[in-house]
Amino acid sequence: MSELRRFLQRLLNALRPSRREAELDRELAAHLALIEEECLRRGASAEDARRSARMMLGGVAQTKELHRDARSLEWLGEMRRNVSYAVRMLRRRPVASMAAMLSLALGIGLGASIFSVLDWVLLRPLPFSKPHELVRIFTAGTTPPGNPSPVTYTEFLALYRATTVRSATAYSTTTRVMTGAGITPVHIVLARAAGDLSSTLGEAPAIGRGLTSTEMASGARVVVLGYGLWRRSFAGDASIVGRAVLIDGVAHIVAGVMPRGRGYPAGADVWRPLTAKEREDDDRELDVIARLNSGASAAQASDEIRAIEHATSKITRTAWADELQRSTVANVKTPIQALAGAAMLTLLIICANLAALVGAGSADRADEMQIRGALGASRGRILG
Amino acid sequence: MPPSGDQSRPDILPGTLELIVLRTLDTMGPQHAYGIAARIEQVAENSIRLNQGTLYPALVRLEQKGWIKGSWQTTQNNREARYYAITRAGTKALGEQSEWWRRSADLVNKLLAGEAEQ
Repeated sequence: MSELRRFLQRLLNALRPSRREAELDRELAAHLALIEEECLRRGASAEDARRSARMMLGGVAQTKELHRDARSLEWLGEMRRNVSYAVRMLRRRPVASMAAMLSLALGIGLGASIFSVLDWVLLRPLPFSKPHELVRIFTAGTTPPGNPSPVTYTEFLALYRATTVRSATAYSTTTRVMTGAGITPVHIVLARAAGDLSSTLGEAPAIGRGLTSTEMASGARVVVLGYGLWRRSFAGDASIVGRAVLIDGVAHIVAGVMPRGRGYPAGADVWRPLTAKEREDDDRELDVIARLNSGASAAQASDEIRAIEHATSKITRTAWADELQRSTVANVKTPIQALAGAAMLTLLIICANLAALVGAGSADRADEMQIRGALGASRGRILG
Repeated sequence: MPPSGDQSRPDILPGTLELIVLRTLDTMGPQHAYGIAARIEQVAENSIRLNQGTLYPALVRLEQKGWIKGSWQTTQNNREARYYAITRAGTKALGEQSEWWRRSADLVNKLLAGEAEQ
């Protein structure tokens, strides 16, 4: 208790210049006077009394130093004095100080903002459960070797048979118009999906239910809404589930609403099963996402998928799997890394400039530093 | 082997100065720093070297712990001086510290006596 009380008082004394110092001067003067009086009483001369008083006390300056050490947290007080000295120096050269502060602020701000982009895009895992199991499947022609292209429904069904694949979903997006009772007509991004939508991505609607496998197989007229569209067009009304909306004039029943920020692809507003007609058309328009069995790698899946595609297409086409995270950021990875590098270099250049600025400033202050050094300031304090 | 200083007049044992000051104020009533120093020197009969300035850190520590309290008063000769008085918490602490000191000293004395017998 008493130790805590003492610590708090020392802290307080360190943070504010103390009245105690003036009082100590008065107290020490009184002390010296008392000793002198005693010496004079014993018959010493005034000069001798003065000298022996100082000897008995052991030095006024030393005593004050001891008193300060005991009274306050001296390192903290030192820090306070250093800071106030730093502020004085900054104010003495306002232009240089402002330039230094501004360029540092810019450099750090730049670095921080670029890193936050890099963090969000490259470092954070995708918002799905076990995102490392997810791959994206591409196909391409072999003669001549073509660019990665989407997949047809027939190919999708064949790839689905791969043993490394636990579940897969195929989708293609298109823009449609949604209307309905009490709905302002609105353009929507419609994702037409096949396969196991919810088990592949591992997420269920927040409200209502997902598309069942029967619905997916039959191409039923049922939809799941994205969170953003639900808030915009339905004002977040949960009773929309079970009601009908018109998509290009055709009635679809709303089965559920996805959680906020979820659903793949991220830009889709509405999901519905691929219709029988669309399946028969067999257009090369599907993007395929697959969830691999745990332990299977993208390379293993690629081997298997390539073999299947070679077999079904008589080696006119090939296929492979790429980690979803990698293929999603493939286009932006290099630019973002280049930006981050540039930001780091900028910061370095700024630091170099600052060093030059400080160097120039200290040349001006050479005399002052010599004086401070001669007066006993430590090296750290002169540089600090 | 005295802890430090000149051989015939050792310094006060570190850590005991607070106890000594408390005890002095307890027996003599409120005193200024010089009064305390004079009293210690008198009791020590010149066998201990006291640098009077070293009293001040001890006084600050005691004051900050709330064991003594200082106030400005005038001496008999009409000089001003800061008088320190022991507080109730100080009296209590003096009891505890004295007990602690007795035990430590006992232990050291016993050990030294044992050594002498061997």
